Amino acid sequence: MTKQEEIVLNFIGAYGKSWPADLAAALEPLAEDAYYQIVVPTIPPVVGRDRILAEHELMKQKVLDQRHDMKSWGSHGNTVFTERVDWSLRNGKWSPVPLVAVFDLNDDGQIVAWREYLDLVHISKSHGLTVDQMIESLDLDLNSASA
Amino acid sequence: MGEREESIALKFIGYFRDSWPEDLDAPLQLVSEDCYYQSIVPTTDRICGKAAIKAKWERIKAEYGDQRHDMRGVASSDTLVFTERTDWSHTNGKWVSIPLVAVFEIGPEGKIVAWREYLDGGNVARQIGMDVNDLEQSLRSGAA
Repeated sequence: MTKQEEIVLNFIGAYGKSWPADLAAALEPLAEDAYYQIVVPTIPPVVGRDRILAEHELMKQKVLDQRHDMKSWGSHGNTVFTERVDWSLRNGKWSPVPLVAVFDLNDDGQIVAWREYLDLVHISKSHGLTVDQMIESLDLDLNSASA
Repeated sequence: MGEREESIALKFIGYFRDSWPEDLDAPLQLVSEDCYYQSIVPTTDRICGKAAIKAKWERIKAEYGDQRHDMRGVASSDTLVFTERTDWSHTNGKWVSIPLVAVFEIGPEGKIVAWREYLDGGNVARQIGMDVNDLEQSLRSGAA
């Protein structure tokens, strides 16, 4: 396993079985100006560790619990891919979210970009929502994202 | 990192970089007989076998017109290759962008045994003004 893979797997591992107890501590491997894009290209990136933390705090209120199964990973230099099935608990029901997340690191080993590829339509349907309802329910601060 | 695996996946997908390959059998030489292709995980069904994959390409080529892609990043393990790309599909007279990650599994014989892609189908449907259910159906139909 490369150093970069180890950093990313440790980071995402904190979300493996449930929400991390301390969200701010879990996000420490991110650079301060890192961005997080929850669905490429449909939802714009959230820029900055503080804003990502705020989004996670909001998501934690909406998605009562979450976990994931790691399917595979691979890397090339400072870029690491993880293929996972995430699971989210809403309204008493666990729904699967198959995805690939791509992480870019800087030379100091900090995560500077975190973007995820998934079919939002499928996920919304499995939650009994339309895509617009799903995006709205995430409460993302999209204005700040494009700043 | 799997250099051999990356070279196989990049050679395969390279056939589709600028346009459809003239000879669809050329990329299929890099694919195992029982390879599967899933165009949107988990929404569309897996298409299993070389002949079925070729039939799907022929249908998509006739239905959607030209295609190409920009490669954004490549990564690998000993058996897997990830490509992050923006694919472009020429549909109804305009180019539609399709950002995605494809995952290729390379078997011990050096052939691609699985090929699955992660993307937001709703993004594609919105750009071409198509109902997402119709788009999914269109991608599903003809699946073996």
